[in-house]
Amino acid sequence: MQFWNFLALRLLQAFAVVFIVVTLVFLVSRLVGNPEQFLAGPDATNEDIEGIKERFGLNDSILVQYGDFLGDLVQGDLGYSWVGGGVSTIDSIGDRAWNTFKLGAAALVFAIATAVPLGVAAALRRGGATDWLARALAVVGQAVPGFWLGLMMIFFFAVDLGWFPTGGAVGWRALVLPAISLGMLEMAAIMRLTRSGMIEVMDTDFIRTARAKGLPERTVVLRHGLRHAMLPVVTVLGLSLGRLIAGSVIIEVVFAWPGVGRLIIDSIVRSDYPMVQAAIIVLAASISLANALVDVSYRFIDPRIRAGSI
Amino acid sequence: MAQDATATLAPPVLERRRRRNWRRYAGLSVPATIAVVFIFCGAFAGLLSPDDPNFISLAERLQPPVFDGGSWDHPLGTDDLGRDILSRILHGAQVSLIVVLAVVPGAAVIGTTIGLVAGWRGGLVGNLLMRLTDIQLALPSILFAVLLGSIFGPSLRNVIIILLLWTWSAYSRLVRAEAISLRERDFVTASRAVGAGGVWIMRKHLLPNLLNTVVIVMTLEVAIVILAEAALSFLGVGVPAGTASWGRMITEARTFMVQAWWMIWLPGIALMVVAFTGNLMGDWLRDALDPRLRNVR
Repeated sequence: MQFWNFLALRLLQAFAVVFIVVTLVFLVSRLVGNPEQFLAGPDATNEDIEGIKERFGLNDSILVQYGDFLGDLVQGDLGYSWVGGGVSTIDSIGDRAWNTFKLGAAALVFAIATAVPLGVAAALRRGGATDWLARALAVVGQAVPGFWLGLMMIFFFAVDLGWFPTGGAVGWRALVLPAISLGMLEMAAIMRLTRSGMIEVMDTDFIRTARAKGLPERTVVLRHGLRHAMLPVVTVLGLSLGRLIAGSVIIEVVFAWPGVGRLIIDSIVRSDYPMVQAAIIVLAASISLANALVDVSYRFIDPRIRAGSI
Repeated sequence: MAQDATATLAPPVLERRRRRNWRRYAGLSVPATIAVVFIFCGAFAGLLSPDDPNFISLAERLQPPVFDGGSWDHPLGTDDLGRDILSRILHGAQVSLIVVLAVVPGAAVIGTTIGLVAGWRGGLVGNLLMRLTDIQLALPSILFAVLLGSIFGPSLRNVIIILLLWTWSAYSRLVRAEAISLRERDFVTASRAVGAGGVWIMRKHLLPNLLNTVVIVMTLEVAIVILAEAALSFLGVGVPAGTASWGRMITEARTFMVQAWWMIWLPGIALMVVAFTGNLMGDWLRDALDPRLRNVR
């Protein structure tokens, strides 16, 4: 029962966070800027502008606009784009969200698939060649700007060698370079954690016991050691979700990847406020929900963490 | 007799200790040197630059650096408008330095205050403050930064404000966690028993114990802030178009990647070296001051 209470509380908190984000986004995009001027174009008459203000409800007081906005929101209506024939924002986002998800997932898979084996190998042979390689990679990965790495990889692997396309999202090849650029930072973080965790755990009594039982080294390392060392990694994965989504914005711009991040940047350039609002709300809601679920999942992974102490 | 013993014993012991001390600081020598060079370049960019970083000379456009067949007139070559890249890199260092000096201490003060109060008070106030941190984490900072940047227009001041909003939560989470554990310690209870108030305890007992953590996070944040400024400038919502900034130089180099490798490599390397230095110093400080924090990042 306590678990369900915790889950409900955490979801409620996530909901409150989203509500505040929604309000902030609404305020920022309404109180500043001059959308009617933009929508009407440079040589619009005053009547045109009045007509547009009337049509989009921009004449109402800010409170009424806010109320309308919230009312539409709970019905799943996030408004219509101001540019490009007034398509429903939520539909445009839906199309793009899958691409952003794909990119983020690929980046995470890349990060884990390279960082964990390398981190374990580095920890088992401290001071060896693998260890040096792993540590160098971690240090570089944390210092290299993702967008610069992306551009360099486009230059070498797409322009020069022609192995991958320079941008877009057609085929699995298009996913490789953006996923590596986006996942580099996470890879560095995960590897450092895996390495230090493994070094610590391999010194403990239960590893000595496992060895004394005569278990094969493989089992000792993977079943007993790694499982323990993965705890802090899981914690970091929760935080990396937010970082991946934030990072995807810039990587999507570099690789012309048709995701939500690029949609937001493009919409900001075009002053398409409803689109910006809707996309930011969708992203913020996904991150809050993910964070809440990660918090809850700690209780499964590590019984020592009590709900109150998170 | 006793004196003899010390006389024969002392030198090797002292010697060993001195050597060990030296070795402790040896790891810091390289990053510290780079940091000093970076600060020096940033502070005296105007004096060190051979040229006006924004002087356009189309006749001299796309000249390679001196080690790739260029001339000493432009040691690091020129960009597509014939501007001197060395001067632009030096002025870019200045932008990064200003941003770091404004953002890192500012965010540390805001984040530490919020974390300290949240950890000490707990309850409703603490919860509200932590939800504030959650909002900051849930709202993709870069999106908000781009939104604000596009509304208020690119300017150095806006970059600083945006990065302050972006980075304070890194401190508040850790400080709160530490404050919660310090709160229960005997010396705090003792202080409370003799009638000390909350502000006094936070300032005299919690803050000094937290300072290590804050300093470590500040050092590690240097790289994050510099890379974030570059990212914003790269997206066109950072520093204004006339300013030489490493991020902006990389954006401008995008279309010339094939003809002029130096345009994109040099600012990229500058960014990487400085970020790398910040991380190394942060790691060193963390190991020296507080090994428990090793799993923070």
